[in-house]
Amino acid sequence: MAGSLIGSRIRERREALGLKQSAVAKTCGISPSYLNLIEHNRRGIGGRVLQALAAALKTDAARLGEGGQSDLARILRLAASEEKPQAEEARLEEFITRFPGWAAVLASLRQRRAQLEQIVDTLSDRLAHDPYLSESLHEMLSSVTAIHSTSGILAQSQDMEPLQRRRFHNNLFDESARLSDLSQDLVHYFDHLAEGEQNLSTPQDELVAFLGAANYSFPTLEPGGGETVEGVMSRLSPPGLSSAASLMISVALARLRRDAARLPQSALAKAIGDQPPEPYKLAQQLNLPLDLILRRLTFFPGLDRPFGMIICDGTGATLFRKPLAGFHLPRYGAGCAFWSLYTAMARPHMPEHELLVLPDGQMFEAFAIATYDGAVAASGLSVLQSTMAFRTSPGPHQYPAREVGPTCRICPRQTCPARREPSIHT
Amino acid sequence: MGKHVLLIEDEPNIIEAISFILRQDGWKVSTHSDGQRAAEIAATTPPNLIILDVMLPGKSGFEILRELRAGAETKDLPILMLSAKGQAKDREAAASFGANRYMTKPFSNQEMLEVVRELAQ
Repeated sequence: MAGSLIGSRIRERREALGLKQSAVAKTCGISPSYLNLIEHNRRGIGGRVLQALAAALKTDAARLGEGGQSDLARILRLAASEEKPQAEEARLEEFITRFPGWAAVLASLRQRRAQLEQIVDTLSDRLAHDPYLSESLHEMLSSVTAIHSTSGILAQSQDMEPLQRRRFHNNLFDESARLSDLSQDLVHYFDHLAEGEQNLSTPQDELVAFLGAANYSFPTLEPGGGETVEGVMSRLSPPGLSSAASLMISVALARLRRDAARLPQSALAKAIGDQPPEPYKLAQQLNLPLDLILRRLTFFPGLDRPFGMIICDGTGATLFRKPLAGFHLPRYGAGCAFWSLYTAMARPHMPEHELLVLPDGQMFEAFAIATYDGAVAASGLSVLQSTMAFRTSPGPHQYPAREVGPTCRICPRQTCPARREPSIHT
Repeated sequence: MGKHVLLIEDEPNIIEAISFILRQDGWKVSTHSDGQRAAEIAATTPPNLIILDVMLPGKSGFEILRELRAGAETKDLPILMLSAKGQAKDREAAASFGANRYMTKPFSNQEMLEVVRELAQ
């Protein structure tokens, strides 16, 4: 816990509280001169002294220590780890202190690059898998073929029946109109693509947009809320919603309504109180299944650290996702094999609680459980579903940390044993 | 060899253009647009050559190609496949299912004529 600028943060915090150095030193049982050395980053600090200082400064040690991994330093370390030329990592804090402007520029460039890589990934995913794009290109090529061939005939045939010539001219006109419509559609499509998540090309995307537009809050579906799923849908469905998306939204809202009947938001709010919600404790306290608690928390408004969520079936195919900034949920294909979402499926009904550490150093606290829903098909099989809720992590934790990635394609962990395909980070 | 070509394609303006250039070149051209019955039609009155589009309503061109190669009347007919996809895997699939030639859209009229004349020899 020896972030070298930790002393500066201690001084800032002390001054912000209007406390004297001598008074704080006395509370902590150290000499004012020792505290002075600490505050000037000339002595390392950790253990009991840090705990005492944190208590005296009405903050927690994790926050003071974590601050040593300030966002700026974290991003610059990441930049250094990603590039071939070796940066002087040992002098990172000095660099940030002496050249704060340049450090900020470098960090901003690194973040911009990561963002662009994500766009490249989305685009290449699309080019390879998007049925709309594939269909449009096929139609365009057909149209171009007709135009190319017809215009060739018109240019090279001297003696053609006037009627036939006229027909070819009409065909050219029709094909050029079709090509013009197609190109407008494509421009429209790519315009949407530039808006990232706004591009609603799959029913899953439409579902995410529908729930997001309502801020994942549907108070009228709570017990006594007085509205049906159909009512909510007819009130909130955007124009042009696909029938597949409409079905998926109604399934999601119906489950939300059933969940709300078992655990109303008011009861959950009461159980949470004014502390950050702890899913395990809530499940015990309310004597309700963990997956229900996780779903209710994902739809709970106003949390300081809101939950993102992903639910998949036994094949790993995504059934539901609620995105959360910083945690990349792939639009196509699966995520990282080491996500708790997938590892939980090896031990059905056993909850998992882990710290997922992404390659960029961001940490997410994940809760996951895989359950059989109990319904049995004619084949005698029951359906396994895995649910993972995750939220940003405020700092070091007691539970296991696990290095994970987004999805192989954009994951820089080259030697990962779970790698399915090469990364674009080569 | 006779000069009867069967064009299996669903784009009307492409059908009209190809039919025109082949007729100008002395071919008798019959056309068919639906994938489902394409192989059956070809077997009923076998042409001297078939031009077959890969993307057809009802059935894929590759499927039709397999049916043609499995049919007694059509197994040896020269077949030219047309596709808007230039990917290597489609070209390989066409070759492995027994297409004689594979041509990607868009093509020039001259190319089309040369390939058809060559296959007819």
